Amino acid sequence: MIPIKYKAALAVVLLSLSAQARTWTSADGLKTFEGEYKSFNQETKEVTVLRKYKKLKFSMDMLSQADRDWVNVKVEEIAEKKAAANSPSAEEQLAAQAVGSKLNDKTLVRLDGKRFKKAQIEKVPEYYLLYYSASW
Amino acid sequence: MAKFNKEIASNENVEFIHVSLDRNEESALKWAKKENFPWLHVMKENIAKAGLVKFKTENFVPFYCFVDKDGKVLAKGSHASFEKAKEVAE
Repeated sequence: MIPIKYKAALAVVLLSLSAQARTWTSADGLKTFEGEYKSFNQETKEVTVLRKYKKLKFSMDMLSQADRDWVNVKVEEIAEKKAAANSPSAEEQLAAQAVGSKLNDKTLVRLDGKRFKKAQIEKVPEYYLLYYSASW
Repeated sequence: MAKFNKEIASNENVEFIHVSLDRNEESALKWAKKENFPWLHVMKENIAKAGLVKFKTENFVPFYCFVDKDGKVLAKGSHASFEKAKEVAE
């Protein structure tokens, strides 16, 4: 379960992981240079690369096929990571349930050693098996 | 306990909730410690707050009730409830 407050930080970390230097090759294969991938503009089909603290923009068709494939994979990876970071947390999903919303650390306990301790559901179940019973 | 371990413990789709009808927490705790219950409990004083009063439709115990996340009752009784849990296992 990822607390909401960490989501933004997680997104930033995930996105920063995408910033890694690599060798880029021109479409004709004659030129290469080192640079970090920064972004891809879907509308203009331009790739932004950071090289020695300067942002350079290239049209995708100026890059080698291998680079274009790499960018496409990268764009998909980042989109997936963003979607994962923005998806509702387990807490939020439980809060949206009629049953799960009332089963939280205010109403639940779990045996922890010699005593009961406040507890909460650690998954997002679709179903609940309720077991009414007593020691007598 | 064996049924819980077999059908529920590793079932991500189902949560097992023990709704304690013991008059006080001390009795519930004594029993839980003796049996080393691994599941989540709702103590008697919190049953209403947890919205679980309406599902206890029979006067006997133990009583099992299998509900979905929206509170729709899908099965009642031990056998039927565990069968449902097995059905919906991911």
